[in-house]
Amino acid sequence: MPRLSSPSLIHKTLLLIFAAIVFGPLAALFTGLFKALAAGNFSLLSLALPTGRRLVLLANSLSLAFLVAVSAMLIGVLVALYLWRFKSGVGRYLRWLIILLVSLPPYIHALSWMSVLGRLKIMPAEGFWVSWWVELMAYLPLAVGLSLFGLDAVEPVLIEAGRLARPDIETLKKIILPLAFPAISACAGLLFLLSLMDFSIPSLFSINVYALEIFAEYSATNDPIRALLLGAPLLALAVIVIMFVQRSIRSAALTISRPAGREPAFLIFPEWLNWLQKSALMIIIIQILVPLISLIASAGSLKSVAQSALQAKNEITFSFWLSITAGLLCLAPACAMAEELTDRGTGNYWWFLVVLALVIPGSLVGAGLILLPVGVWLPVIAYLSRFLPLAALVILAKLRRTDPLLVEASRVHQPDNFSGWWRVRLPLLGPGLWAAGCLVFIFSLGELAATIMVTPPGYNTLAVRIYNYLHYGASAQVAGLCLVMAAIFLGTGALMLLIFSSGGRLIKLGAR
Amino acid sequence: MIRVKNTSKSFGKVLAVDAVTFEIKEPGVSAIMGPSGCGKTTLLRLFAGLEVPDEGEIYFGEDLVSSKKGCLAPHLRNMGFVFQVPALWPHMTVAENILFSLSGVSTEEKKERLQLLLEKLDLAGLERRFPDEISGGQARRVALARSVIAKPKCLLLDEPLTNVDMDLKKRLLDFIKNEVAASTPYLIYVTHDIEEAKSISQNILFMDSGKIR
Repeated sequence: MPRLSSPSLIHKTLLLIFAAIVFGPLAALFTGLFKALAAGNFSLLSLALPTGRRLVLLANSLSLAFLVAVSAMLIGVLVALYLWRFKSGVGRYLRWLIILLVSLPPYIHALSWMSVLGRLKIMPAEGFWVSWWVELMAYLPLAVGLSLFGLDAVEPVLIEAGRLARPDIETLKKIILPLAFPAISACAGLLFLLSLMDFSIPSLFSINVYALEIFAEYSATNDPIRALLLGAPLLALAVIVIMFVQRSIRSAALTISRPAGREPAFLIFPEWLNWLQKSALMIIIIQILVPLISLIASAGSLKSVAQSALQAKNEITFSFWLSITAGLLCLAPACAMAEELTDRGTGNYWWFLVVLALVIPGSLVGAGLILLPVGVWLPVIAYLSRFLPLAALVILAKLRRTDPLLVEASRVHQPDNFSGWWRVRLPLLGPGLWAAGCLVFIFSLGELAATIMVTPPGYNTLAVRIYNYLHYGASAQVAGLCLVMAAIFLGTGALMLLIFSSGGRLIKLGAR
Repeated sequence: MIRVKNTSKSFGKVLAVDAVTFEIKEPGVSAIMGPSGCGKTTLLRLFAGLEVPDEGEIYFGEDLVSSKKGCLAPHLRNMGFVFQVPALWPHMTVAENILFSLSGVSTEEKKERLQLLLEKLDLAGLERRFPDEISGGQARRVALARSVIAKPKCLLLDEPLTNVDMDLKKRLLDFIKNEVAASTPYLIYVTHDIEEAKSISQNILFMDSGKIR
């Protein structure tokens, strides 16, 4: 495993910065809680134990999250199996398009479905099942993407060895799916937690969920400690789920990055499975087309889209600067953490913390940050706090793809540490850094749960403006803004995928 | 009889197998020799049904098993295949790996065949271990056991002894010559080592640039 030989003091400092940013908000909240308890305010603790209405709310949220995770995984695995077999032609482009759609924030899906259901009038655009469907649509690309990574990671020779002995369907059941299971189960766990922590979709479809309760409690009382205690059951659930899937996530993260070998021959499945795959594919096509068509139809002419964008000029500029700053600042600490995760000793502890950090509710991050000195750049800290772990995992994937011999050769031949790092190791890591920066940029641009709490007075981000408008229904103005946002997401995502999959050749060509 | 008729296979612009025609008329051991990249592995994969030929046909006996129009599924060919790497399934134990290809056989017979192979290949006691708990040499032997337990009609060995130490190489070659070859009607052994080829068979086919010379 290549390991950047940065001076250990810098490495340790960067790790400390990583931990401080990611866990700082939670630490601030817990410090506040201990202070309140030390002052004898023990009655607060009752908030951590949901009873009555809150218990029902938690049960409803759990059922919704469970249903979303199970259905998304069922459809996701079926679609992934189909795309995995068709690696060339249309299948190849569809696979990239689906991965790109992961970046679209849930509320854009909410808007488009709100608009479609409003036009069709076949059912009311609110309630549990509509919320489930829209969440399913929002998380489906992630389910397909991670399942695809899992399937891609199965070595072709293991599949071929199975095909020589048994029919393809048995090879699928006994070899391919068990070997892809770490990625699939990790994805199911993540989807469950993401759905549990998200309040944007349910709130837009008039469903009250537990995650919204945290935000509502903070809005009503302006007390971050109460928000923490209310969020305690969600945090406890996250820890439990992460304990179960952490090994899977780790295993998936370490294998998805394995460079692809020879593609296995085309597998022949029974008709019933082909039929199921095609049905699942139809759902994903609906998932792709509905936001696109509905947003274009609702936004009206190009002129009105431009007008909406012009009206939100300040928000777009502000969001852009915040997100690009987060995308740049994440690189050094994420790089240090990625290296640390490859360490067999300390890496074990960091893995748990990094995976846990991925699912800390955004509203808790926001509540914790409010306790810190307020500044106009506070949203940047919120973005880093939420997305640094993701950046670290992307860089880790690139580290795993790098041939260790290339790094070792540079260690032997480099005139000094700096030239070895600058001329060999940094270029090798370049595509990973680029992808991590882009990913943090696009996720920051769409971030809502923490931003809504930490944006300083007088400022607003594009995501918050869209969310605020959405409560008044799907208007042409908000559709125009969503279209602008979607274009930024998809454009940046496409560039990121292009450079990451080209192995950095595009960066090198540009540099020449 | 195994008959390969005018068979070609290319990957993009690389012509791996170029209009190959030959016959193995009598049962026995055949060796295919040639330098790295000459198309030996692709030819074996075509036999096994893991690749579809671009042109030509492959027959086992009178049965057409591969042509560009379609291929008989690999598991229906009654073949064993030892890959260049052991290719053991990491989620299965040694015993599960070996027994995977055995179906339609009583549990008693499964146990019997497994024990016999484990003993012959010095693997006794390892049946409950997982692939990451055994050595590279042991993994090679497990791969060999897996490919012969179902008593295939044809066994394909693709440089099975590459990167194996001299002592183990000699033992495995003896096992293949004395035990496997005796019970397998057709055995095709691919190697780039002339000594290895000579020691296993008198019937040696030379391959170069995708063609049988």
